[in-house]
Amino acid sequence: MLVLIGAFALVALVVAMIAWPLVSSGHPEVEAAPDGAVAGDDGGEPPATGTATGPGAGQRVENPLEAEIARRRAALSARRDEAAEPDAAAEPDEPDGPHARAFPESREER
Amino acid sequence: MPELGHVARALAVLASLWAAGAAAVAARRGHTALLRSAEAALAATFVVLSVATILLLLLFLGREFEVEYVAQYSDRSLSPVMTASALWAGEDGSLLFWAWVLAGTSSLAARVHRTRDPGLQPVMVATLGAALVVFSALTLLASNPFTRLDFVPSDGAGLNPMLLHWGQILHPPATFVGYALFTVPFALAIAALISGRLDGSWLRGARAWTIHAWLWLGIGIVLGARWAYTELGWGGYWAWDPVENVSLLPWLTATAWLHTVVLQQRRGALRVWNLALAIATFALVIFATFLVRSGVAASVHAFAESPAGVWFLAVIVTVVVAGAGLLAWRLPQLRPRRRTAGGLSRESLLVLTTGLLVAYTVAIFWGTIFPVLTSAVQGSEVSVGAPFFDAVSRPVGVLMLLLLGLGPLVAWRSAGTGLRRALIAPTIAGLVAGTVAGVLDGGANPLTVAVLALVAFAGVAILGDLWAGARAAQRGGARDLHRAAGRSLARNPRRVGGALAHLGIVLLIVGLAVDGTYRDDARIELEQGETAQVGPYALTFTELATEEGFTRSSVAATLSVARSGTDRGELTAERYLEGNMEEPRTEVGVRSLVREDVYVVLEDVDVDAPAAGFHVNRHPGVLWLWVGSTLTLLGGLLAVLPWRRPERRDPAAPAERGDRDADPTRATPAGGSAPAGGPTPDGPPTGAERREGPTRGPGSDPSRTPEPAGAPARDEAGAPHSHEEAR
Repeated sequence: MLVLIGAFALVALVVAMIAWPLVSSGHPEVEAAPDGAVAGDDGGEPPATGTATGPGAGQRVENPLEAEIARRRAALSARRDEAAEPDAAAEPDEPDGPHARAFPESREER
Repeated sequence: MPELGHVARALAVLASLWAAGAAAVAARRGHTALLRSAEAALAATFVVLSVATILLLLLFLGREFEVEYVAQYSDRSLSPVMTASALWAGEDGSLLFWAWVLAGTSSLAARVHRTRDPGLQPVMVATLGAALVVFSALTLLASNPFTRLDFVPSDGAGLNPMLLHWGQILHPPATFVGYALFTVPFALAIAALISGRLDGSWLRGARAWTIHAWLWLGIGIVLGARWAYTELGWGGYWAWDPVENVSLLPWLTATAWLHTVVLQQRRGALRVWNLALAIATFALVIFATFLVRSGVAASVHAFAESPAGVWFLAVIVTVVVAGAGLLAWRLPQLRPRRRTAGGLSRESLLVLTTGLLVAYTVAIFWGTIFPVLTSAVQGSEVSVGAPFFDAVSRPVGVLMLLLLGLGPLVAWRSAGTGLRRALIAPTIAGLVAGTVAGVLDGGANPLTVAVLALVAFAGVAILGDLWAGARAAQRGGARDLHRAAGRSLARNPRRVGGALAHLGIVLLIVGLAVDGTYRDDARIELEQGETAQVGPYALTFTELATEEGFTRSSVAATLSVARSGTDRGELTAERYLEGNMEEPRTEVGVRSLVREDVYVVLEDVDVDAPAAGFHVNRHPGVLWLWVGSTLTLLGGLLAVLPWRRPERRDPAAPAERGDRDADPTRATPAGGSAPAGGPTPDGPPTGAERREGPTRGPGSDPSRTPEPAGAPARDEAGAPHSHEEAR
């Protein structure tokens, strides 16, 4: 009996977890990517087409203005990441070696 | 209760199937709700596999021997901790554990990359879901740890005596966690290839996951080596056993990847290599599993032949074919944007390092599968054995030392005129060390002498690099060198962590070279109270203790160790029979000294005399092997810890810090002032980031306006191509 209840509980839990995002799509509380690649999903900004609960919810945004905003947000986010990675984003703050400043870079590279 | 395990695993299969399918559809159609459902399915898979894993653990701890797996791998004499570790002692439980770790990792990765890489995340979720389908289906269909027996035995068979060791508690889970974590970089690489987002964006996330996986697998490998050293009784830490080898292969390719990724981030080079290495590393992980579980390789580590082997072979073929196909499809877009600097430069050294690591991987792979191939082709197994691997490893070690030493001395883009000056101190150190080693060695082992000279060369070069970093930090405002070292680490953990990892490899090579050359062994027979001289050590047989218990009987001999009349402590070597063992096992006695380990195996005993025969090994330099491997892993750990970057003391006065810091466009990211509380370079966001958000990050810096159209081209990580561009 205990096993049966446990099994039922597990099935219910899994179904609820998987179905919840589908049934609640377009709900204002749905959390999302702040980078704004997809609307209905960006932390509160309404989608550019349709309404939060309408047929357009959860679909890719077609509005060019929204897409431009999303692109700029992504660029800003990428820059934040770059700055957090000094090795990748810029020359190291420390010398590369005792002679590191001897050759800033070659003429061809410039 | 086992029935609940069946339900949980069946639900895991369904949930992961949904995750893979829904994410694939969401990736194609841009359906957010479906994507969130796929993410939730990954989390649900983790929940149900957690239930299954906890259930199995409870079955073990409750001594439920009607479950076949519990009866096979535990008995009533096992301590609770060892009983819990029996969870991963056999194939069925270890696959469940792996699937559980993979589910947790996948769920976390889906969450982290939702905001970090929204363009890659849908395909990544689909790939992780597909991997989870394989593992959860395996635990359901091919490796079921919940099978009931027709009867209830009064006691279980117990653990294999070799597994009755602390290594059993730590080594397998660390290895499995490492293996599972490598799935995320693979999924990101596949996502980059399918989505066509082939810039450096996938590297940022993949790098953090790879370092974590590299770290865990490295811990697993080192713990396994230590386990073999103290348990197997022959004084070896690495036997070139097929299963040992296959665990090393993904670690080597991951190490190569961690080097090539720098080149892509800085120069946009090796983009095909990076994708190929991420895919190859995952394929090698599956190959390792295949070899362990298919029964094709004879090894002390291998599980018995099982149907899981065929599954893994199918996965390897799928991964390799799909990966190669995707790479071929995207090849035109993956051409390097610029030519990598030729001649002697840090770039060329990185390429050489990567090539060396990949060549070494191929050689070990070949040596490992050679017996399998000969068995398949000729019908008889021909093993290449340790001499082949040693012969390959020696030149690789020498070249690696050379590269480790040259790396910090050679600048990016060009070696520069300062190289000659930079070479002076390491070269002198190498010459002095080589001379001293040559004199002490007497010319008998020229290769070892050359290795020790190169060790000094590389060690001084790396230490010099660390010193230069600390001095730079001191000039940047740290009051003393101690603080400067901390500041240097916090500013650039990747650089400092990398240097420490390299230093660890150098020390590891010292241990391998010295122990491999100068170890010796002797057989002694002593009556209690007698002393024997073994090399410089006087070993006195002081005590013989016997124990006759209900489940265990043992005999232990204690030896005191002295060198030149100075007491160096004592060691105890033991032979015992426990539980259902048929043959007595040995517990070696080890006295670890700075110079060498004195390693004693009790071979035979006359309890009445009392007298005993001992096999005594001296392992010189072996301590450095453990210190070096620990330092290597510590370096990796430092590189992924979420450091809080120090603020610049006086950002308005760059002249004090020299020209390099005078560039305000570079000072912010490199100086590390802005990202305090901002996104960490690796891994998930820190608590500080979540609290403070991006407001203090460079993204909010008013001097950094959004990039206009026609802005200078940036490299893979978005960094300007040159200083001039930055200015």
